[in-house]
Amino acid sequence: MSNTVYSIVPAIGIARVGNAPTAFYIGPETEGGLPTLPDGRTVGEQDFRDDEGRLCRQAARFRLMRSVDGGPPEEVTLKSEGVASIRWYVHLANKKSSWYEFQTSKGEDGYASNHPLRNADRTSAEERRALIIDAGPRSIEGSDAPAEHFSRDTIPPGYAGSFPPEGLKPYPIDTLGELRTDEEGRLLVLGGLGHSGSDRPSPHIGQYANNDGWWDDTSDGPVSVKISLLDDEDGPPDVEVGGAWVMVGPPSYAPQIPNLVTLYDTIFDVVVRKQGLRPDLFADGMWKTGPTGYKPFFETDIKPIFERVARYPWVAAIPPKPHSFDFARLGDPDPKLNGFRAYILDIIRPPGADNVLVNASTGATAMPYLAGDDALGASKPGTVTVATSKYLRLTDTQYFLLQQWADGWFIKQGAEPAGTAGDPVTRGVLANCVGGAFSPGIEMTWISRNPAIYDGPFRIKARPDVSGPLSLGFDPAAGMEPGDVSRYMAVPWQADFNECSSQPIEGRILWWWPAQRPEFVYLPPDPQTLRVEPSPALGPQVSWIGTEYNQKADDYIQFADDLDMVKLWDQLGFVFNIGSADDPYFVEVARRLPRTPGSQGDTAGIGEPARPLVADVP
Amino acid sequence: MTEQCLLERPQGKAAAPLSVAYTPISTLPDLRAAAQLAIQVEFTTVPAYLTALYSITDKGSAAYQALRSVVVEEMFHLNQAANILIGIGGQPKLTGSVVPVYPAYLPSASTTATPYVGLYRASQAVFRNVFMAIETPAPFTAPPQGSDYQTIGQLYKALSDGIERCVDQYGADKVFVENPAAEQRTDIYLGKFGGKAVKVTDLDSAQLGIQQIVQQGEGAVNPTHPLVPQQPYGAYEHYGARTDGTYGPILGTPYELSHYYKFLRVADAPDFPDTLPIVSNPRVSDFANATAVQAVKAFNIGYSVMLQSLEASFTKAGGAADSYFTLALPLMHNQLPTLANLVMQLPVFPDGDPTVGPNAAPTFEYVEDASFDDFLAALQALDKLLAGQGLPALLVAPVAPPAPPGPAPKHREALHGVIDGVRTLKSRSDATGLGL
Repeated sequence: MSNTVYSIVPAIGIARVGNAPTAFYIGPETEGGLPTLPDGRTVGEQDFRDDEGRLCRQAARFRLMRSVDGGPPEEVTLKSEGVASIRWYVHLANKKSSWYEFQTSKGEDGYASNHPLRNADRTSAEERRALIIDAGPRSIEGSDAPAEHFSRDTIPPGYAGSFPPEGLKPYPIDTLGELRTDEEGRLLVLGGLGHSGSDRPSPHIGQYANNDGWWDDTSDGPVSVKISLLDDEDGPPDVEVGGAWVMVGPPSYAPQIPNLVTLYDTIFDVVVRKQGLRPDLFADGMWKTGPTGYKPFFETDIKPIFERVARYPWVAAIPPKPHSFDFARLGDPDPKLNGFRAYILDIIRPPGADNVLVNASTGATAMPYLAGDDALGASKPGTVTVATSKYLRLTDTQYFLLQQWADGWFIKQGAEPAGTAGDPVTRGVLANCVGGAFSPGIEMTWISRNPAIYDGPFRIKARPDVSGPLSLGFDPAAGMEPGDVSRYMAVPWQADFNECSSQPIEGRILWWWPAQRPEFVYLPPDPQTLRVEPSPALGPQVSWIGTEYNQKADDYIQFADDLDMVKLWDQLGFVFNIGSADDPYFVEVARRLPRTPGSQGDTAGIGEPARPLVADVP
Repeated sequence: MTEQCLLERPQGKAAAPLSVAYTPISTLPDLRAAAQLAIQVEFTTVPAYLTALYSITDKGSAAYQALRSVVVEEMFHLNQAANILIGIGGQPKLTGSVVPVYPAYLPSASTTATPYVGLYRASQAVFRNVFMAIETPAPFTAPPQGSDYQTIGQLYKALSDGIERCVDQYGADKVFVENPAAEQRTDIYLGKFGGKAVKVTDLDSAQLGIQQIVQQGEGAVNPTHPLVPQQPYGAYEHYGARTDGTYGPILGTPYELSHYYKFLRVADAPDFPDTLPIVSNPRVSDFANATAVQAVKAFNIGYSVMLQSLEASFTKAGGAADSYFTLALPLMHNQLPTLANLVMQLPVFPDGDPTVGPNAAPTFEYVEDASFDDFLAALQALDKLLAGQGLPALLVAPVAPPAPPGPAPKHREALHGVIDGVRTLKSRSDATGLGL
């Protein structure tokens, strides 16, 4: 009898909201890759919106893999021999409004007794449970199955689900998304419509992360599958497989530009340091340094870090030159270049220097020039000394790999052999998510660094037999419930997404997540001049939102009022490469929002009345 | 209004007549000499700026950061001027008699209109009377001046006019004949400031190269005329003080860029950071502290190896390792600053108090035939002296004997050393590490 191991990939799938009711695309499964359309084509610049100009949702696709006797994993679909049916089980919930307030890094190691709750005026367990959005579990099977909605009116009979009051303003929340399957029975999870609303008569957003009376329709939850085999010569006819999770986050407006620290890097750091699953890098509390230690692969471990750096100038106003690299030289292990590599490493903010912007012994600015987890704490007078991390830094594992590289202990050619590198789809999916700074973040916050929530590499431990109502607490030993991963995030997400553009710290302005939330973009060139020269001159960079002249202005590269983001997020443009992979040229496409009057990109509307900033409320 | 009125003369010198005898450049050897002169002028500013820079203790201070950005841009100008020289058939020289000896005037400068340049401990007076005077912008209409110039901008004007004149006279194909042994560099990265060096192959690229230099600092630029906003590197989108009063990305604002105005801000600031109590215009013969003497000796050897390797990086490598990235860059960015910081914390007198001074300072003297082995030997000798005083060693690990020289061009033979082992100097150079 053969030993067959099933698994779901990716371990964590990422869906993203959109207000197109039916059109969607499937999330990218490689770092910096473009999403794909259901028919398999890669999205073009016209595919980010549906026929009516609404923003398409990004579906998270899950596949079932099978490994026989330790062999390489192969996919199992409805078309595979011997498969009778594949039924997927998903349970989405949003617990944001019932959880604690988000206050930068507070709570990562447990909340203090005086840490405020969101909606603290609702005190009874019943009232607090009513703050949870929980449509209950759903399942789906077959090929191209009709959508199974996580909606208010499809809560399974007998399940104690809950939805916020009807008629929230400006947008009602009646669904968290839906399940579909593709032609071969793979699972597609679609998230919410990007609706955020308040139960107050005149909705108002006063804060970036905690707004009482507000809900949004992002969510998260476990994914499992039951496969039925046609004949059971090799074991039980039905196999149940869990271990996967789906997160629903904000749209990815620059899908081809990965974050410097990706969510993969952050969780991989847990795998290495906390779970001890990579003893070749780190074991018994010791890093495997030096010539006999771990040798990173330049192509897969080192080069991507610099490639990400090289793409930031397309989405932030940063000097392109120091962010361009000669990869042949970086990848040359010649010991004569040790000094050169050490010079590069020296610029990168090391562990323990989370509050250092300018290197005290060289005067050089430490990189990345990005806000850290506790940049907000640092920006408030009187709290500077207690800031835990004002500036972003690479993960310990990333820095370790770079140290080995700088010392010349790295492998120039080739990639990490399959099997040790983990599942490539999980890596590819998470490489397109934010791994820091977590204030709170975009998809997941610092809870991603907590080893207690996992029971394997990248595998979030799901609580078995969730029958509802969902709990109000946190018990990772019992497993994570639907909504337990995303509840730390800002409510509504648009508030944080709007405000986390630039961050003043000690007289400097730092950026947050330019790769995920663009700050400055280039406009498409005049069609007359496009590509007539080998390299057309770039026009000026313009603010993605708001104005760019005065860094102290309320609308400096953001909306002056967070409520505008709730209403207008779906009209923003996407940053898209109209050049080639080797000679990229990223411009903003598919934008519907007029530029803010007075901003550099507002060439048309000077002197004309601005279009009212009001979206149609459905 | 005369043109002189446009010029501030902060160093208090009497305004000299703007136009003295000017002989336009009309031969190719003269043109190459003018380009070499431009290199030497840029070169001469660097040790002066560096001495002041290293003497500032707070590396995050506005004065330090402003001066640092200017130094890096001067090095970029040197790179660009070298490319121009190679583009018109020359070979840049950075060693031997070319190395400036301080104190001195800028090479071939008007001694009445330009400052006396020395290696000074930083102060607001030095910023105002020396550095601002070096970087005084030429009036928009100032005439070209190949020698005895009052502003560096005039020197570049003469070079620019000379290139045009020679192209008219001999044709571009005779002027832009690259020296076959030399190699222009566009891949040298110096720091977050600077610019993008262009390869000079014709009149347009030569003029663009000069324009970049002139706009950044020694400008004959109308201050109300914005820098070319489409310039992909350097001018557009670097960080600095903005006209909205904040610090951040510069989206095409010209004022911030001028070295003169950067220095003016420092000179006019209400306060100035602490400096190390170094002697100005140091001489080794004045030092009685053997450790300081050895440290300066090691610095000068390292400085000379750096200059050799920088000079060699403008020659065709012929398969040998690129001496810029293997030697010049680590020396410039790590070993020499480390040593300079150490020297400036060593008192001139054996029993002196380094917090009171006077402390030594690097003398920036060229050592003929210095080799990397000499540098290592000097560091090892220095470590012995430091150990004798209970100070931590600079070399953290025993340094492996240098590899035998490979089949490299002859002038590279002295540069074969592998910088490994020496490169970790810095971590031991923090003031605390020195026990000061």
